[in-house]
Amino acid sequence: MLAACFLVGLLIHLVPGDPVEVMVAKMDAVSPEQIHAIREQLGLNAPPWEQSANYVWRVLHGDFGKTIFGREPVLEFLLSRLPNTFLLTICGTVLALAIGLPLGFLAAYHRGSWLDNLLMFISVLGVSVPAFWLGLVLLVTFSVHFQFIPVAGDGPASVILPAVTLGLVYSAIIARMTRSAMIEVLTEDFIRTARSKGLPERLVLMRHALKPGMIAVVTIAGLIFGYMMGGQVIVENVFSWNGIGRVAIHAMLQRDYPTIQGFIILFAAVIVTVSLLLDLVYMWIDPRIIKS
Amino acid sequence: MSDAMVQNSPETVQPVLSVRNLKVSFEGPKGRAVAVDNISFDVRPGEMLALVGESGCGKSTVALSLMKLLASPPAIIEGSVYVKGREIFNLSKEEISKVRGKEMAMIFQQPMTSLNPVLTIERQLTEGLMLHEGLTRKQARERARENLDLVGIPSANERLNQYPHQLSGGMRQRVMIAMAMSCKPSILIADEPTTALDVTTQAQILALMSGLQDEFGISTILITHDLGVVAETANRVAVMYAGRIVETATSNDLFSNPSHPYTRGLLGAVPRLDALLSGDDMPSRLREIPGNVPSAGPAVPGCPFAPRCDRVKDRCHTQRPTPVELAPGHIVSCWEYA
Ligand SMILES: Nc1ncnc2c1ncn2[C@@H]1O[C@H](COP(=O)(O)OP(=O)(O)OP(=O)(O)O)[C@@H](O)[C@H]1O
Ligand SMILES: [Mg+2]
Repeated sequence: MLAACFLVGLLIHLVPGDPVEVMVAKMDAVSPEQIHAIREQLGLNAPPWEQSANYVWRVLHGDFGKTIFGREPVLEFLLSRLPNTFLLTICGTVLALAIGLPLGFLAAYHRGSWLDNLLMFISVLGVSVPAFWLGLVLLVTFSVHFQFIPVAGDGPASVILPAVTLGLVYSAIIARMTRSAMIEVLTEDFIRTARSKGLPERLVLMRHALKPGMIAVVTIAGLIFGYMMGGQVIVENVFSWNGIGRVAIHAMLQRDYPTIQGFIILFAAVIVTVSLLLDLVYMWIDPRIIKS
Repeated sequence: MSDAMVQNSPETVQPVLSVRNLKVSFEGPKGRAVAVDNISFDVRPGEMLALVGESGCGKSTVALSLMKLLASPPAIIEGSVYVKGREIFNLSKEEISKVRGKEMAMIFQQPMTSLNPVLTIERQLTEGLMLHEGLTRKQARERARENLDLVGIPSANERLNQYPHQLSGGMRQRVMIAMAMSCKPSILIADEPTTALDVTTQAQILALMSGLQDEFGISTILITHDLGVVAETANRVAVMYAGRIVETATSNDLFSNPSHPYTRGLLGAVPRLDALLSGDDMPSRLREIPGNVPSAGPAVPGCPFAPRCDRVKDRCHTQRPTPVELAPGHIVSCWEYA
């Protein structure tokens, strides 16, 4: 984690330009001496590796620095936006699960049929459509044309479109994962045993296949979560949703190094926490884990 | 073939299970592969019929198709199967479900993977009882506990709350037996129930199975590689080769008078029943026969064993041998006797 933190510090300097350039571009008549002074004050004149090492050192002491533009403490600034991000993520995930799981299950059950083919065709579209494009289409259709959902902002109603965008994109992935996990499970010997007992197909699926299938889905879900968070950043920007994803893009445009670094640490922390949570879920549904 | 068997069977009792002209092929990239080629046989009340043959001759395919457990496609199943006189291949899915587990139950070759890893033993033992006998959960648990006692699993109450991974292979196969026996089916199909187990466990499981068969009079089809097992436990034997039954006889007849060249090959040079029973010189595994074991492929017009047979004649390659009854109940499909 620390090493990653250090590397990120180096990498952001690869992007040409620095915050001071962005800053002075908006003012007139700034002398080179003034620019140098500001850089000195912000510690930007040191070589990148030194800046990065210093940063890691300060983070270790709980100091995430201040944003270059607002001069606010980075951590508080980011944390204040986090609830918005969580709201959106939770709505999107719930929606994605609510759409993706049943459809994937249905496709697996009717594998090879026209329904399966249709669902998988739609999901290919879902997986390949970029989140920002789908977001824009929804935005134009529902807000601009029909005007019954606010275009952007923080109100409760305005969560609908970004959540639907996220939900649709990820439901496609979840449906595909669920389908392949279920198909895999349906070839297992114990499914044959269940059928040999005379259980109706519905019970074979609901009782014998669903849980092992979900275990497989949870396993993969942990892996794609990071990917989901990436989509979150884009969707937040399309809908001007005031979460940390939007902050991050702004910070990148302005080369606001401390904010970017803080964002990345926070982002990583969230992903790690979520995979730990998924491990707990995993332990809860898979009896084989508890013993070992 | 079927007629010869039906008319000449020594007993007039109605068989529990009759299989007529069962044919199973698999639709594959290289065309149709015939795995089971037109076989017919009967299982009489309370008897244990052993189905023996080399790996790949189609034993499991027969067993699975009797229970309609083969996925089709790719499997194409033809023929008819009568359980106590009722044809079951034409039944609807719902009606088949009522036969499975209730009339006909199966024990599988793979004890390690045949139990559901995420459900408790109790759940897996009781669901059949609740379904077929309409028991309440509590009654079913009680019966499940009795069944575990019956198959010799100690501390049944604790076992019921455990998951399959907490049990050894032998224990799991006992659970499978308890599960198959739970509704006291008329027919039990055991597909190599001991192949995956170590030798001592094998003997215990077999003793358990023949004990239960005697006690409840359940007709059993025992699929095996092991001729020692056949000699000890089976009443009758059907020898399979490349998807066909080449010889059927009582165990005594088969060991004392093996008639098909393939059976003779299997039994080796010393097919003496006393030696087999006493365990000396016992070819416990099938003896090597020169040539390759055929795998499922296009149907052969003649006798499938012809390429490996030391007494092969011209027509063996072109004409399918007709079954001949050498003695009551001893039927051979070989041109040597026709
Ligand atoms: N699902 C399938 N698709 C294609 N071919 C199959 C399938 N199942 C079985 N076969 C073929 O059918 C033939 C018979 O297989 P089967 O499993 O019934 O043999 P077996 O006698 O039970 O062998 P073993 O003693 O190894 O269990 C084999 O040649 C096999 O390749
Ligand atoms: Mg087999």
